[in-house]
Amino acid sequence: MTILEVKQVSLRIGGLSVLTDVSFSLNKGAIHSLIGPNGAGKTSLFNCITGFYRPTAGAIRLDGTSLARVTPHRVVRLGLARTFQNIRLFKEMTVLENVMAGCHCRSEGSIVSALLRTRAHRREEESIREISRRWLDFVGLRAKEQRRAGDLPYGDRRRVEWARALASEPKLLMLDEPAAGLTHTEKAELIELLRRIRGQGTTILLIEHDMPLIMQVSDHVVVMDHGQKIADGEPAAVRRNPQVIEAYLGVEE
Amino acid sequence: MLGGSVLLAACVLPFVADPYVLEVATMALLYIVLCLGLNVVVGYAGLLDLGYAAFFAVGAYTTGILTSQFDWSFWATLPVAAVAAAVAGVVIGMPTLRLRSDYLAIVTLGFGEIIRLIARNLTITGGASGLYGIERPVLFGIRLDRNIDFYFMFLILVVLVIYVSDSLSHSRIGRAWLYVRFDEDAAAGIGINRVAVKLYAYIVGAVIASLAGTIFAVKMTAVSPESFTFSQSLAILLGVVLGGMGKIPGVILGAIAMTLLPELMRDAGIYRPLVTAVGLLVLMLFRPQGLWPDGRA
Repeated sequence: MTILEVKQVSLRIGGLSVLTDVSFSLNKGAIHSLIGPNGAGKTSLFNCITGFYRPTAGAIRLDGTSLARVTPHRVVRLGLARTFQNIRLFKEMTVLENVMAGCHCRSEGSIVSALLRTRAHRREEESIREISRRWLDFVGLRAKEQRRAGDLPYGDRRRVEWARALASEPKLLMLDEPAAGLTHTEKAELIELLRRIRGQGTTILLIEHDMPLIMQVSDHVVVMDHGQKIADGEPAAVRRNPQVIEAYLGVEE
Repeated sequence: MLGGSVLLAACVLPFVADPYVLEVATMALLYIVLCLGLNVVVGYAGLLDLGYAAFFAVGAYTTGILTSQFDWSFWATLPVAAVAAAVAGVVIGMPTLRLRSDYLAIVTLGFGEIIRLIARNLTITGGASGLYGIERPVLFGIRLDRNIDFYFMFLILVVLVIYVSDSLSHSRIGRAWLYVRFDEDAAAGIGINRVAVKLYAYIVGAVIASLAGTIFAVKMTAVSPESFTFSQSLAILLGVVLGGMGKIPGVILGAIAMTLLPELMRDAGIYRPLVTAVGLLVLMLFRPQGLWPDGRA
């Protein structure tokens, strides 16, 4: 079963070809990694999928629904959540309030129901809190829910971002360099967390540089270089692929 | 507790105050409504609006025109004024909400001036001399024309607007305003429709200012374009910033300060604006977060 299908996607910015004819598909319920040297086009592809960039050509489908011309906030509602490479939390708000943001697209309280303080409105507010707390438990941050997000140490800020993304109930969770800046212990915890997320049926797509982590956790790896896909398959097979070795190590003249 | 005591004091005040104090207190209530309304836009959603007086004008002129030229009762003009302001909010909002801070500020500044110039040049709005002979409201056969009547009308509106601000700030939409204010891209990336969320802030703010304008019109029985200048918008914005953006008691304090300061400095004569400006500068240097700020701003 395919959850995400990327078909012949190209992206040109000005005269520059950022992505050329990229195609791959991701199976449901697995951990996928998108790797490649710096400047390979990984984040650009990420931004095309999440609606922040509009591809010049090609199609992207999430669970059969086309993501062409879908704005970023609609993409989340369709079931695709993301985190940012340089953690983007609402620093001035509490940890709990940050995670509650993830529930926004799954709730519908209007201005009118808030003003009338209807029972349905109170019940929904209650359930938003409950769901958010459950995700804070899931990432192990429940005890810090009232802390100001900006005051947390780096590793915890990453967890808040994961909890916030998970609260939007994604079918596909896309993490942009989740291991960057984490300590050895935190990386081990990340691997365990990724497996737990997969365990509940959510598909994961990672962009990562940390090779040992990728090889350990991924079910499937997509390799990019110079805006093109150069390999795609199981981690062990990809590692032996001469094109991949060339992209990472260069080639002897 | 504190809120209850303040409200009680506000109810007793007009019965013990002399006419001058009552007039100043009524103006303070008007500013509280306007500052709380703008606080939704600037304090909650973080959209710098330099033309907020335009929505105040929409309410005042709607009531003024309908009562003086079409013989409507004041009460019947209220929903029309609210709808007119909401439409004005959407009209200014739609094309501008994709802009970021500085550009948005310039467009709202222009919008404020456009509304004032339209009012100045149309026949229906009475041109430069404005509208006069606006009919006073009648409630249960009693004509409301004493200063104390308008004091209480504004007081009721203040209580209503506090309730609205408080309800919204603790709701899903209130949180969405903060998310958009603190990080627009992250908000969109987590599923928040930033354009709709900002538009709601504009509409709520516009309706609040408009309702203040309707009472202002029947209190003065006359409205003229000069009540809705850029300096009026600026005074409202100063009240919000002075008190502490985003926090209701702070904004109320700021609004009162903006009403009282000019009165207290009558002796300063022509130097009054200079003294006010220096005072504000000093305050912003030593207390940039406002008098009673929101903890997270």
